[in-house]
Amino acid sequence: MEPTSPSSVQATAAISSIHRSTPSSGTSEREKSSGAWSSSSSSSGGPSHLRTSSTNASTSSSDFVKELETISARSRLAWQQHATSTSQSPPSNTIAASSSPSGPYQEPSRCYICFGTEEDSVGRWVKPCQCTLISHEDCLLDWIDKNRQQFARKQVRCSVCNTVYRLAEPNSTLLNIYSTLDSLVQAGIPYLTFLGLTCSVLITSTTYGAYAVLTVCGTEEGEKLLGSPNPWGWRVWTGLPMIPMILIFSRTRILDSFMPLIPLLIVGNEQLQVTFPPSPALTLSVMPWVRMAYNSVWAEMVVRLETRWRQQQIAASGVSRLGISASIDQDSTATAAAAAAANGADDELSLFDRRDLGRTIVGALLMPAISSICGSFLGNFAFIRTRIPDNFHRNILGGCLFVLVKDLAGLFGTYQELKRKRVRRIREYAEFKDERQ
Amino acid sequence: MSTAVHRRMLKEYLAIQKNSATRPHLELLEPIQEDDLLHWQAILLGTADSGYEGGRFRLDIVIPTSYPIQPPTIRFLTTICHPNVHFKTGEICLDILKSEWTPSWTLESVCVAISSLLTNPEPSSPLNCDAANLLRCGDMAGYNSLVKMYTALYAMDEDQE
Repeated sequence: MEPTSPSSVQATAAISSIHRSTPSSGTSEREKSSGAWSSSSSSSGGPSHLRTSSTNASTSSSDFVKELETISARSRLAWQQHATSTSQSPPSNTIAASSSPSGPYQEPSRCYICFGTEEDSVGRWVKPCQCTLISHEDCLLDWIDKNRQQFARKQVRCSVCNTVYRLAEPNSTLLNIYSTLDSLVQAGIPYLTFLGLTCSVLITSTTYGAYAVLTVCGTEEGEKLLGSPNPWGWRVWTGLPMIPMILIFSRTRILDSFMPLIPLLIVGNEQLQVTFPPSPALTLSVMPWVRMAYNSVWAEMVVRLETRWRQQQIAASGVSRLGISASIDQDSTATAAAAAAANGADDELSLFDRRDLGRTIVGALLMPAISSICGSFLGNFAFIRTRIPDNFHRNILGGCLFVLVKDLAGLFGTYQELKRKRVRRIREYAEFKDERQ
Repeated sequence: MSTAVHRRMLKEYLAIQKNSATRPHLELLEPIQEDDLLHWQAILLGTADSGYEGGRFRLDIVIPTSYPIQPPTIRFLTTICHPNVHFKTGEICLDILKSEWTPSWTLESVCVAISSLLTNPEPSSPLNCDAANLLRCGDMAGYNSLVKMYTALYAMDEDQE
């Protein structure tokens, strides 16, 4: 949200501010006030004083009035001294003063920041720009300091004539270096924050990656796969942080086109020897292909099943609700159902929708732990233990079985839901009015 | 008591009393209590030929002790429908009250600026998106009638409340 700057607003206010803070320019306000003062003081001081105090008494409390009176009395005194010393004929002087504000009498010059005049304030006066604004040095320094809080080298300008205020400062090299460094640090904070966050994400990802490898492969095989930690090669350093991302993206279809390449990139060629049982490196390189094959087979199957189910449902609802023969437009319902089912299957794998984001991410990141648990569960059976002697392959098998069981459960749930929808109906009130609540 | 701010407020008050006749759209601009020059109130009158015509809009003005180095805090007490005024809080989005503030502004000139903001809204930096969207789409009839309705609802019978 940017603050607005209607040009007309600025113009109006700029003009009014010039009016108010220009001691020597002849604005209506100035003439009026100086005219009033000079005329009253030239005739007699009494009426003016009375008038001032009466108007003030009507609007202000006693404290306030006193302050006002001191101010007006002081300026009147100053004026009277001035008038008696410089002019011999008060009437003509009055005319001169009211007609030309730049005459012998001038309204006491006023600091445009604190509004203090020569009478009621102390401090060195400066005229820092080409226009008529003048101010106390301290006031202006305060204003410049406020503007420089964010950027030490910011140029501050006069708000009316746009002249850059210039400071005569002792030019200290050390201070210059310090303030430059200081503003560099200030400017660098967002980048450093970003860098720090990136680093912490990277470290977390690496740790998670190492955890995942060790969980799935078992300590021994895992360490062999990672290689000696002192030092880890670049493949490990890039590969480990990528593991959580790959796990998450494996739930979508975004990276399908080059998912199979990723393990090759990370594991490298030297570990890839076709043996039986396949080494962990080989198994992991094959997993993306297995995943893709499984996904496409599954999608195909789901589309067929769901098409059939929806067809049944539409047919059933057609018969039961409308009471007409569903065979009238069997063909069109079939195609509609097929399209709906295909859409459904597409959604399932396309992006994070349908299952929400959190569930997808947590599910993906829990995968290593789940497959390890399933693997050790499988290890309880002597039959499997004899066929698959090592932990790693049992874990992989466990993970695959888990995915299969989970998907089947999902499919079963969908089926049950559709079936319920097919047979459900709203009960008539007459049916249950005698039942107890 | 920081004397600088009080002296300045006192002088602004004097000037405001002196030229009260020269500002037709500012019905009132004065401290709420005479002994506290750091808390002011103002009443803006809606200009003729605008949707705000006939409305009286009360402003709450708080002067920081570092005034005029820091700008005053001004908000609408009267509910007002304007693209640059928050409908609920009355916060005003005006550059001279924030980044473009300079000490040469006075309370009076700021009030005049707010008054002219009423007739010159800036829909590109809205605090009230509904009003701003009407303006952006060029629906002047809709905008004006909306403004008129809220002026009639909130700004006309303030005294009876």
